[in-house]
Parts: sequence; structure tokens; C-alpha cells
Amino acid sequence: MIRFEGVAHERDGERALDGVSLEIDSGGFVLLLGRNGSGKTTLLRHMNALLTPDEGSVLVDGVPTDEDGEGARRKVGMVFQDAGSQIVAETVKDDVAFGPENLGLETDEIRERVDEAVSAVGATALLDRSPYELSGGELRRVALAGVLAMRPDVLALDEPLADLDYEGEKAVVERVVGANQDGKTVVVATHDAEPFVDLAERAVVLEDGSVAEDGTPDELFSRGLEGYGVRTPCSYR
Amino acid sequence: MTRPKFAYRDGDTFVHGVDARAKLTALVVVSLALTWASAGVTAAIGVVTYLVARSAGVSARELLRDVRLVLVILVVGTVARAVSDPAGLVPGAVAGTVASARFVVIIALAYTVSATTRPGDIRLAVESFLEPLPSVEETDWGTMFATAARFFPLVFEESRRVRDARKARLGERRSWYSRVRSTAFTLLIRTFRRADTVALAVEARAYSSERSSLRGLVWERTDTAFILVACSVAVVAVVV
Repeated sequence: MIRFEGVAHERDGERALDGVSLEIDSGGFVLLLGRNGSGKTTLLRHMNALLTPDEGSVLVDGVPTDEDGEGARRKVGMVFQDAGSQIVAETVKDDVAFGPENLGLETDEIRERVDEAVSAVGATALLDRSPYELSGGELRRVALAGVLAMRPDVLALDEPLADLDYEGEKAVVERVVGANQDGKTVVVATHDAEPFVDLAERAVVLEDGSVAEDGTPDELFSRGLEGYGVRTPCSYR
Repeated sequence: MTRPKFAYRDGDTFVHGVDARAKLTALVVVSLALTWASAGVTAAIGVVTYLVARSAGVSARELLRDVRLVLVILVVGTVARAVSDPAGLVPGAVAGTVASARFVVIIALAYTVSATTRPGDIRLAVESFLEPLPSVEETDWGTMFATAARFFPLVFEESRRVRDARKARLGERRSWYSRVRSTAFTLLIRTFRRADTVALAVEARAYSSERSSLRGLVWERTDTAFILVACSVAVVAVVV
């Protein structure tokens, strides 16, 4: 479980997060909604301990992220909005292996995880390819595989469908749903809830770094969230 | 995405197959020897370097294209040497040309090594070089070198993007100074941002100095032969 307790985070003199208190239960599927700059990415980065709070605390399974950042990163896998910038190795295989290598696993175990993760995102054919040869959709799937190979408990996905065509979007959504069905917690930050609205059980709307709305997608979209810069899915229009 | 300059390119040539430790050692040894080499020996090593690069799938054309900015700097340096050498214009030009030629050969060698060696293998090679040294975190240093090897081509990629963005809005009609100034400034900012993102990406996936590796380096007899040839070339360069 992830718990935010009065979290504030300052960036360039402004409050990117301001008194956020939130609990995300294990196995849940949560949408983080809000306009650009509302604090979605900052919130995800706190879950992965890439950022630590200026005030308050973020606890992953009861442990504050500012005390055990590495532990938080083992449990929370994060896929960046710009998937291409997340690739750190020269081939798909090496990149997907990067996380398991950091966990200090044996070579056979790394190989098994790499094969499993690339197969899960339908990227087996890309295994020996260079990231420079991949399309935006392929890069996003590889970035997701790199996180899945670490077998985290939580998937924190930042705009996971940005720049994807229909096929790519379908592949990523299927894999995310599969991971959630396998018991992983999924947190998706997006300004377009359409592909996830029937899958998520909870939606949290951020506005100016604070939680503005928190409820089921049904409750929130029935009221309409255009005021927060979130497009209403077709089924609610 | 276009393959950036200096990026690793997959292949199964002989040079690709040489152990990263052997390639890095050869690069250092031959580069050091080149600083003593005469004009003739520099030319000979240049020819050998060209043949090695060619056999590894690196053409002279793409090498010259990718390092053209460095070549311009070397030409400017040579001219500066020629006009400022107390021995006169011609001796100065000759000395400047020989010095520049040494640099060109070293750059060609480094380009060939980076094009045929995975950054992951460079990491393992650096780790194995540093392992005997006490109180040195060889994993951190290895990762630093590998990240630099991965990051270097990204800087060129950013540079291309900045140039394309400028061209797309008729930026080529501006003065040379204005173009260089705008490119340098934008590139600097974007490079720092990119470096920050790469560091975050590494950190986000639980980077640890206690890490293991999917790949391993295997030293074979051909690697020993490769080193011996490189050392022989270096000895000849120094002695002749």
C-alpha cells in the first residue's frame, strides 16, 4: 500500500504538491487526472522515490521513501511519459535486463525475466534491435517491459498512451490490465481517461498540486471534470 | 529515430567480436604511441585504421561526416600553427598538419571502437580494469563510462533535432553567428535536461552498485593476438 501524508513538494519556488493525503490500496487501479502541470508526474515520482517530500511523508508498505528510496524503487516501477528517454542501453535486451541486473539477480534469472517481460508486451521480435530503430509505440512497450522485468508490486505509468497508434494503445492497455489482474497495483497519470475509464476503480483529480476530487470514475465523470481540464469520456456525454 | 553519431551498431564482424578490454587497451596504447609517431608512421597507422574501420562496417564517408566539426577545428588549428610558428609558414604548416593527422587517426580509432562495442561491454571492461584497485567502486565507474558512451550519441541526436527545428523555420537564412549562438545555447540547455532524464531513468530502475550482469566478457586467443598486434604497432610508432 502507498500512503501520502500531507505531502508538499516545492519546485522552482512553486508548490508542485501541496498537502496531498492519499492512500492507494494494494491491487487497485487508480487514475490520476488533471491538466498539465497539476502535479500528476510529481506525485508518481514521489511513489518511486525519485523525489522525496519537502513536507509530510510518502510511505510504501509502511516505509517512508526518504528512508528507503531503493526499497520503494524495487516495489514501484515507473514508466516515464517520454519512453524514449527511459531507454538506457544499446539494445532492447540489454535495456530490459538493466533493472534485473540492478537487483543483483543471477544471469539465468535475468534472462528468464527479460524473455517473460518482452513476451508480455509483444516485443520478442525486437529483442536484439537498437532503441534508435524503434517507433514511438515500440519504445513505449520496451519501456514497460523494462519495468515489468523487475516484477514490481506497483506500476506507476505517466501518460502511457501518449503518441501511440491504435494497435500500440491496445497492446499497452491489455498488458496493464493483465498486470492488474495478476495482482499488481496500477496507477495511471493521464489527461485522457477514455481507454481506462471502464478498468479503473478509482479516479483522483489533481489541481494546482492538491487533491481536488477523489471517487469512482463513474461518480466523477457523471458530474463532469472539464473544469479540471479533463475530457469527459464518450460514454458519459 | 535516426541512429546518432558514435552510437553502437550491431554487427558480427571480427572487430565486433574482439573483447571490449582488448579494444580499449589497444585504443589507449596506439593513441599514446601516436603522440610520438612521425608523419610516415602516422600515415601508415591511418591506413591500417581505415582498413580496420572498413572491415567493421564503418565507411570513411560517414566517419568524415560525423566528425566534420572536429575536422574544421583541426584545420583552423593547423592554419593558426602555420602562421604563428617561429620557424616559418611551411615548417609550421607541416607540423600543424602532422599534429592534426594524429588527432584524426585517434578519432577514427575511437569512432570504430564506439561503433563496435556495446556500452554494456565497456562497463564490464572498465570494471575489470579497476577491480584490482583498492577502495575504488569499480561498478560505479563502469556504469559511469557506459552511461557516457550511451549519452555521447544522444548529444549529437539533440544537436540534429535543434538544427532540424531551426531549418524548419527558415533559420538557415540567418547569419552564421546567429545560428551558432542559438544552436549552442539550445543544445546546452537540452543536453543538461537530457542528462538529468538519463540519470532519473537509471535511478528509477533501482540502480545499485551491487548489480549483476546479463552479459559477460570472454577472453579468447584472438583477443591476445589483437593486443599483441596493437602493442607492436605502438612500439614501431615510437621507435621509427
